[in-house]
Amino acid sequence: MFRQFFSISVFSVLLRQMTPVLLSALGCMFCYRAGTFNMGMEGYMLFSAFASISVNALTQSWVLGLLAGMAISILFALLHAFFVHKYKAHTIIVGFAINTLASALTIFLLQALYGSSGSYIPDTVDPIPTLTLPFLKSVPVLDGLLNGHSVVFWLAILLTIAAHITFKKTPYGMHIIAVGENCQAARSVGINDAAILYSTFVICGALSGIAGAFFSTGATKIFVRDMIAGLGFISIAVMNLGNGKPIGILFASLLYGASKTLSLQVQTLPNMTVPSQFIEMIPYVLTVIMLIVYALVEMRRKKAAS
Amino acid sequence: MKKTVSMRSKIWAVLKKVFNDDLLSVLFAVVFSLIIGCGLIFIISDEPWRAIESLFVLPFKTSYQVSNIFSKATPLILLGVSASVTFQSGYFNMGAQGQFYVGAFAGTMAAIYVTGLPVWLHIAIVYLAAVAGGMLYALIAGVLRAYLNTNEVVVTLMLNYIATNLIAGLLSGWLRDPSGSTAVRTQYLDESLLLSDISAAIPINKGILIALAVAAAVYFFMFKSKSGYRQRLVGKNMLFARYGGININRTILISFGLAGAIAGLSGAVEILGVHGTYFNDFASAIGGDGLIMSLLAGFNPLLVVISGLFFGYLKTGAQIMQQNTAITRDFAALIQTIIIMLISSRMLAAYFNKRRLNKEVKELV
Amino acid sequence: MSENVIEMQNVYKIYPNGTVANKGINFSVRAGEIHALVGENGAGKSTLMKMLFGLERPTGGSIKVNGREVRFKSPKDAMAAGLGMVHQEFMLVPSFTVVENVALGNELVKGIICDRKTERKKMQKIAEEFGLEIDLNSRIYQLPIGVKQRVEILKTLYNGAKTIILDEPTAVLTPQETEELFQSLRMLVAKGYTIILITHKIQEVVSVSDRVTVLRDGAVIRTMDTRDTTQEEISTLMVGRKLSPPIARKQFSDMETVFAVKGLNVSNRRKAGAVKDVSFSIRAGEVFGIAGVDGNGQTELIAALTGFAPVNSGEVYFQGRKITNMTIADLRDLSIGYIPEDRNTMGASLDSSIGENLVLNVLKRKSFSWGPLIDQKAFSAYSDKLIRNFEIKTDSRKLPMRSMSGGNVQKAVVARELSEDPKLIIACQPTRGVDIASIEYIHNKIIEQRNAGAAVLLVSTELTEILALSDRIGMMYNGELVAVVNNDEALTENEIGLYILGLKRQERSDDLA
Repeated sequence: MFRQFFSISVFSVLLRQMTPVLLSALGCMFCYRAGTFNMGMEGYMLFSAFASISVNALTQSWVLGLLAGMAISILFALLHAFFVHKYKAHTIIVGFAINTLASALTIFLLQALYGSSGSYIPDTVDPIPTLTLPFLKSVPVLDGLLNGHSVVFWLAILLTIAAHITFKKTPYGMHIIAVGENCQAARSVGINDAAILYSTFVICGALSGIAGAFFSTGATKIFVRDMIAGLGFISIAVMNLGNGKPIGILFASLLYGASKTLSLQVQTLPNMTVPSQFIEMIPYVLTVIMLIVYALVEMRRKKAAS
Repeated sequence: MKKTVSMRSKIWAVLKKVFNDDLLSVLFAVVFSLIIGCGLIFIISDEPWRAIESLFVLPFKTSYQVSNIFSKATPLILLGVSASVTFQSGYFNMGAQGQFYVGAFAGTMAAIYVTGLPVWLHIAIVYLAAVAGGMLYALIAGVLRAYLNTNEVVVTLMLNYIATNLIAGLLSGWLRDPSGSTAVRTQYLDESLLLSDISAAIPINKGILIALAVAAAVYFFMFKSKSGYRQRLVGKNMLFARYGGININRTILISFGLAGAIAGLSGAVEILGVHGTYFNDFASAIGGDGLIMSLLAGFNPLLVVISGLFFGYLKTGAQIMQQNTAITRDFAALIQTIIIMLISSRMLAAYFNKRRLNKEVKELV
Repeated sequence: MSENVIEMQNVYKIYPNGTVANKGINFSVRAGEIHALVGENGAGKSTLMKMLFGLERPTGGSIKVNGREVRFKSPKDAMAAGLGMVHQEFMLVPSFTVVENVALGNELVKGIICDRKTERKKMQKIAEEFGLEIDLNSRIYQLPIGVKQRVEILKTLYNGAKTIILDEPTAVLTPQETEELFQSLRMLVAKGYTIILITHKIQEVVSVSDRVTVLRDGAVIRTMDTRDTTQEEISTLMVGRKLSPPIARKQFSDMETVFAVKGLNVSNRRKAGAVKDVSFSIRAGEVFGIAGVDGNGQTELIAALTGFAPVNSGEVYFQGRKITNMTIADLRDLSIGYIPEDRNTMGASLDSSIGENLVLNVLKRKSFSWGPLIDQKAFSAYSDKLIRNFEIKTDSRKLPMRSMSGGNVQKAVVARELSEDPKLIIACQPTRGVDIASIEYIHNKIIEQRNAGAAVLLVSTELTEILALSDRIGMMYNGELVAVVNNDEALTENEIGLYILGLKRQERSDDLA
């Protein structure tokens, strides 16, 4: 049983579980640092999952599928930003609207386009490839650890590093933080805060788009109604736990990935009498615990500082 | 710098009054999105006129369908009122779905496992259990918000998933209907506990009366009582409320507790009035629907009755449309979301306002 | 005759909601001069300069810089044209270092990475050349206000400004620091820079400017050479009439002590904000003014006295009763009126109606309710009475608070707090950002209450206000009450300045009461 929990294959499951959360949380972070709370990732990812598998099945190209997913996702993110900025709508309500729309629209299209009420499993999907370095194949431990993971995972790692550098060292990153912390100050030196807002939403849309495509054409080759199952919201908690910084988010999503992997592994144990739904509950419970821990830490920090 | 008082500006003055009104921009948005919806019907359906007829006309055709309108409106009104309670105090309770299910489940458990009581007492216990269940479940998020300042949006959303999974797990195993059917539900409840129609002459389920009563009671509470004044003030400016000596934590607990209680009550009404049993995930989008009702009504409990009835009507029509054509019920959900997008943006009111003001400004310079 | 660096012709600014901020402004600035732009709060000075700096767009009229017509779309354009602005509220990002703030918006890059080294070198040079003492590596939230202002000035110079606009720069400075600022301004002008100084303090206008333009109700009244005019003339032009002094303070003797603070210690995140061993007392019919530069503990002191922050040690007494660390709700039940520093965030709920704002304190009154329900008629009558008695300009109590001007909002706050004739009034910055008519009104109301026997604790950064209203004055510096003196003829603003700058301390006597 020990081996079941700690084998190399479990490790790759962990990375696979961590990838979409990491991407989504990074996206959420950009909007958050710029001063706007974005909870529309659930909807962006769902739209992207649907779009990318559809385009993928049609063209048999994972690249086109991925790009289609990102495009749709960015479109809705821009719509979100537009309503918030131009018409002063509340970001939570618009996010809620997009999430609801995504669910309703994808279910509707599932029926209208593919005649299915539950899932869409095309034969002609070209899955997002995994990365295998040939020279590593002969190295015993590294082969298992580093080979065979999805391209998206490595992309996510690169993006995490890129995000880190952006906020620490680039003018763009400085501008985002300035708009988030003191928008008036940013405006007074000529920073276009609307452009910053829109750009962070575009980034969030792009990252969520990648995550969504990963859901339907990377980890699996299927679209199921409401398949994101709350991951968009979980990524908000992950972002909080990671303190709104890229490296912190990396660790927080690792933590989430571990909990999800654990629950999956427990389900496959022999003699499992606990209903599977209880096990599926674990990531959500863990998210609530994460939020409580984060709140306690924040309280202690504020007390210590005074 | 003279202000030209022309015919044009007089017309603009009238239009300004009309379109400044939030209520009218809501109306506009509803009509607009219905037009979009009808457009969609024409695009995707082979028999569009039959679909339109099913959607808009047939709900009034038989008394069965009319009673359906009220049945469908009941949980929408109750959950809309629940959402209004928290929105008015400035919090985002996205957990009505979970609170609804927990309340419904608690009520069902009380209905099945509490025995040996006179019927009227048993019914009271069932409702009490449902209200308590919903209230306590909501207070989890409320307490976390009050004392730890956690973000209630994510917590309540997570609690939804937790509730759904927990109940599903219980239903598929230990608490399943012992009569051996394959459906994932509890046994059927005793007939004596169920909510019947108002009378033989009015074949509409009593649930709607409960919904109307709750809406009126909450309106009274929010706008005519001291406690309600405090709840609303916290929603408008928390610091000012605190400065006035209002206990913020208490307002949070009242807000979440009351909202959860109403959601739980709605769950019980659905079980006792419509289904007669608790089967898994029997109202999967009802929480979100309640939020939309509340948004449409500007968070006013009395106006929620109107938006709830309207959507009860739409949902009934969508169901008929599904029976008669190939278009599914999810269509109504689509309409709903188009509406919120428009409402939440107050796009229309803002647009008209801007045009009017630009005109006036140009005249002044 | 030097050329006009700035020329604004027939400039208008009308906001979408109909407010006319500026009308038909003709304003020009000559190269190498210090030009003062004066007017009372709400006269339109800030708006005019915001248009010049590209933060707002004019609704009509033209603006010329160095003879060329310009249409600034954003501050970036203004900066490129050689303009710089030091705003009334500091435009700084608290968590950034000085370097990061000064470079914000104009960062130097190597590839896509910020080149902080080169930036720092440039800033060091400029700071030295203009005598600005700043630690470039410190973070903004650590800096005191005077230094923050220097950072703002450094920012304008770093961005190549030749004409610098300063918006009410002395609001946060002591008299001594103000003189230092003016020295810097004179040095800049000597080096060929042009200065536009926005202020409502006439004394400053006279002491440092070459020319002065007076604004009133959004329009230019007159532009004149400073040496050709007097303080009185400027003041009359600003207000449109002669200012009347506040009503006389009645003389009292042997009144009882209403409010006493003994050895109060309050702690805070940052060292500079703590309150250290503060003691004072106030009698009935007395105004005790606390003077001091913002950030020396006044905010924390008031927070502790009003239940918003805990007291570490020490005691507070009201009418002989200990009220240390009482909850806000309990304090509200006592006969204490509290006019908070910030009317927009704490003093009022801008989105609620005026009526709803005015009844905040009388909710618990039995005569206004039927059990848990509100007696709407009683509430309405009460609100209307307050609106009448305090001359609040509004059409209806049902309108949102937001619809009123700053002065009227403040009057509503004052009305609410003073209408029940409280025994103690705590007033913080009661006339900040308020038009002169309302300032006079509020000052008179405070004196009225004082003359009727109320004890008043007045906290203000405006020395003129402190001197006009107080019977005794306490000065705060670095969290301590460094002196308590009687407000008699001999006391000058300069002397107060020495105390609140920490340059002078009073000998500690046991009886500071």
